[in-house]
Amino acid sequence: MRRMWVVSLLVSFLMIPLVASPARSQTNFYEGKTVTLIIGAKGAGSLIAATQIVAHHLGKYIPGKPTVIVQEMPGAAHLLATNNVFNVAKPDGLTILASNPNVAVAQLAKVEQVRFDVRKFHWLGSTGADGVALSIRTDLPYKNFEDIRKANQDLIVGTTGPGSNAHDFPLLLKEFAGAKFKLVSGYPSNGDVMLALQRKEADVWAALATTIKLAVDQGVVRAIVRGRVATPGFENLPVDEDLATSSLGKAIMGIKAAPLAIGRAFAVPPATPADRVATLREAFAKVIKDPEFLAEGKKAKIDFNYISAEQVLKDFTALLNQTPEVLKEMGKYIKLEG
Amino acid sequence: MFDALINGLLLVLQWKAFSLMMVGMGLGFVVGLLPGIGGAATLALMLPFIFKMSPAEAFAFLLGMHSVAATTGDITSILFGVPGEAISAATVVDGYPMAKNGEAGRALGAALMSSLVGALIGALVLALAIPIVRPLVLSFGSPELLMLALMGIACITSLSGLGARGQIRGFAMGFLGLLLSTIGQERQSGALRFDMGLMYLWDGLDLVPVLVGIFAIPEIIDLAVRGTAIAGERQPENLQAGVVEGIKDTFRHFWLVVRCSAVGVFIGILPGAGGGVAQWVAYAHAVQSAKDAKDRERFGKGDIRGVLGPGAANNSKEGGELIPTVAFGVPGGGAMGILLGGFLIMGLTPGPDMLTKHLALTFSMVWTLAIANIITVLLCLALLGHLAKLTYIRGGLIIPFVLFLVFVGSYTANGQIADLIVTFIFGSLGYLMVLFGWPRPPFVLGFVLGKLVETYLFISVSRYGFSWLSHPVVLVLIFLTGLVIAYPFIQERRSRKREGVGAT
Repeated sequence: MRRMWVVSLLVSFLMIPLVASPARSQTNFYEGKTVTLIIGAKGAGSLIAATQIVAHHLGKYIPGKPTVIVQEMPGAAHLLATNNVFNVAKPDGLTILASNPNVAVAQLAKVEQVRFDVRKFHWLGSTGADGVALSIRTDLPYKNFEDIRKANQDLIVGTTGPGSNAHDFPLLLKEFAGAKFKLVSGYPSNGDVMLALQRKEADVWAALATTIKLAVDQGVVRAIVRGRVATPGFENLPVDEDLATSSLGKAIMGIKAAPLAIGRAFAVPPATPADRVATLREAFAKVIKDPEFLAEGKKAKIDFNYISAEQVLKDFTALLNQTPEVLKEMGKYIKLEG
Repeated sequence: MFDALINGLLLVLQWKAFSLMMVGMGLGFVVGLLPGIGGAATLALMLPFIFKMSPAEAFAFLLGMHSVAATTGDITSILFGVPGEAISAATVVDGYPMAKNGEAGRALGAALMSSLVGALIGALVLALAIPIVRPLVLSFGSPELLMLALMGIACITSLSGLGARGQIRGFAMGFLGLLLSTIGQERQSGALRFDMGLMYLWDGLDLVPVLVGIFAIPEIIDLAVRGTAIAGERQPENLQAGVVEGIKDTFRHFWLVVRCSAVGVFIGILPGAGGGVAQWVAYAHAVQSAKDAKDRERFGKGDIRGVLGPGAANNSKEGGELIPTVAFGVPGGGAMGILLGGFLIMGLTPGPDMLTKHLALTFSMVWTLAIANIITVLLCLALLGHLAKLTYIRGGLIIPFVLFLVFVGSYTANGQIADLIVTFIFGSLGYLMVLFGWPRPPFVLGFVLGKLVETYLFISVSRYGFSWLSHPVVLVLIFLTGLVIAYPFIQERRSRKREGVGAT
């Protein structure tokens, strides 16, 4: 199950000189060791970029200054990596999961392949919540959500498929807030949807707020609705949960919003010794205040905000605590990400 | 624009950017030789190192590494029949038989030289196309992309044997490929298909273990059974002369190389088509260029044109793929996806700005591709003679080494044991296909294009109903697809007629 051990080894060797640590007299667990951040995706994307930036700085705040590397373990919408860190990885504080909190929704939906309980991980904290926003082409006459409700014809929403923010966010607005949408799903990536907007093949697009912001700045779209998490520039947009016309709709939108509010959270396996968890939590909190770290985040247009381990655990617990009625309805609208 | 062109060159030639490019090329060279570990995997590993670089330095480093891997991938394809990368599998079809005929040096020379010509044409076209590239890409919507994918599938007629029997076998294999491409989570509804309860299959079968299995394993079995060296029991060829011959071949068939380069650039520019497709369409085009049925039968048995076509397209498409990546943020292929990650870290936004405000930087990428290719090819040509000697080593000594390459390559696809099992299963399938004379290239084409056809068919129909069939570009493409299907038959008839005339 270890991905590319050969190449990982190569990288660890290559990186050793970069983090050459000063000799320390006291024996320290982390000294000379390698900490691995496991992420359940491969390629590009803001989660991977954020994890790379964390890896770049985490080592210097852990006593003993270990080498920190990122290992990609793609598969089954992050379930493979989450299962692996929960069950297989040694709980010695050297393996950290860079989680996608959406896996909690899979746990809630009792997906067969889930072999973990998000409430039993030791969370280290999160590097910040993700906002989501829905936007529409600037050349169309619809200026706000009310216009979309009253549209004469269905507006075409380009999506990357069920389970993604691009799909679920507009789907719930259509089902529970009366938006006149027709979803065309299956675009390979968000970039492809944006291209479809420019070709006038699609009219509406939802994605992470930072992604939508870039398209707004290019003049391709205007933002109309946002999710629960407010991001700079989008604070004044209406929130989807407030537009819902039923309490059921609001509850289901809430389930979708919770993982986004938890954001890019990191965890170690359940049996990790308490002192190492504490060390890592402390290091993690320091990283997020590091000016160099913040500067790299700003350059990559990722907003970093510290969310404490307690808050992350509290949010996960709340997310998993749903009434049977909501659980039953949820399956119709929320599917696993492809 | 001319200023930007020069400034782009100056950006690459700064000592820091240039030396980083050389470092990247060194890494790319080693990794490119290992089959399966494509440019994408290496790029992903190197991303953490670009934090402290300027954008020009970072892209010189990353693209230098990437362009080398595309060229060196051909080397294992020719020497051992093991596709060095997913994008160099078409080179195996004629390149490896050439090695078996004792012409490894010639095949390598041709592959490298055509790669170089392809890369340079790709860079040139790219530089010229920058002003018109946005309207061009925007004129290709989902229906147009669907038709292009179908046109790619229509190339099966050229990749299969002649006559009804050959065509039926070719299409049967193509459909098997299409069928297997549907394994995994469906993009439109998220439903799982043929996953057999295995998480591994959620994302579908990975191209690398499938290709490596289907092409390399049968050749290894064949080599073991023959008990000789790859090149049989021939006296070693004069390697230097072979390489020179291969270089000359590139210029003997120069127009073919140019046309295949053009195919590569064009497919590269269209977002979503992917690198796996360009080489096969170029290969099919090389087959179509055969003069008559007899000439055509040489393909697959070691025809130099079958090496030149994919070699040129492989490298020219690198230039093309940059366009959708840079101008629209839609990665043209796996490696370009990682490059987008680099954009993110550098704080650059792909989009119209890259063609105006940051044009010099975009040109520096084009220059990097051109310069890195020239250096690689010259270096490889110097080393080639020694590499080709490997085909004269006894099979018993070379097989363990090649098997090692095969399994390491497959394993790097996802880092799971299942990758090895997939290689083994498709190796067995490939062996049976070779044994009973069913062609492998149509299978690969169906497998590579299946997902694209499904995606764009679904989007076209759900967005436009059936009115997409009346789009002008679609109509032109339908006509061209018909032509691609009919061409081998027209060719056959014409040559028969000519023979008839000659007889009377």
